[in-house]
Amino acid sequence: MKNLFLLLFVSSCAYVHHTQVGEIKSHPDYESIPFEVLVSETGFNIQEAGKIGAAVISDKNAGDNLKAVAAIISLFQMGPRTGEPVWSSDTYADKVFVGLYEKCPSGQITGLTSIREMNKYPVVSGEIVKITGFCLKKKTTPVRKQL
Amino acid sequence: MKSLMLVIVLLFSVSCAQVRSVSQTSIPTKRGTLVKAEVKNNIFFFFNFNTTYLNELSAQLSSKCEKGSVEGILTKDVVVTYFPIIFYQEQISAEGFCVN
Repeated sequence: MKNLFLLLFVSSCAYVHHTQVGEIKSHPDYESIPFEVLVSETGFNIQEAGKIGAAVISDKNAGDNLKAVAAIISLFQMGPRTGEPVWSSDTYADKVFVGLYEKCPSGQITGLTSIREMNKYPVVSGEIVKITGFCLKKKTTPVRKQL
Repeated sequence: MKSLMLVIVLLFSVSCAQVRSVSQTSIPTKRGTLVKAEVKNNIFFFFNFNTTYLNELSAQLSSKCEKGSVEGILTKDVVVTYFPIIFYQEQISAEGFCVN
């Protein structure tokens, strides 16, 4: 029974929480170069950890206590959210700005698609913010050779 | 027993749509033709390993408006459950105005 319970949790999957497509501009003098910026942080599902812990521990009372502790901690994680809470820092998504600037220093960006997704593993998860888009770069005209 | 089977079959035949997110960019004053792009992803037993299908959205939109810009884009992210637990489909659509 315990093995079956663990097997159910030992699967990894990708979840999409939110997708947004921004305005797309095109210009005959510019070429669009695709880019991708990805930032992520590790999330932690305390309730899942509690359930797995309770299944692994042979002592029933200790397992129940572990589940109770997990339930109490999860009560402090309130409000609307996507994915699992991250413990280290909630500002990891701010790095997107830096990433965008590095990928397209000219700032002429178009077709931005922002995706909030999660890679789910047992207990932990990868909380990902992905931005794809196009950097507009002026087309270079071939230089004529002087005869 | 037959009635129980009928109830189970009915329960699994119900399809439900759930809107996960909607976003809208500012709508232009000069609205051109409406262009639409859509990507779908079939998921069996909750197993899904990539989200790269989403990258096609902006490419599809720009291909439908090659000489102009696409503005006022409405992005809709919908999940349709056809058979609970067994099969559901993610449908992400984006539509906007092609302004020349």
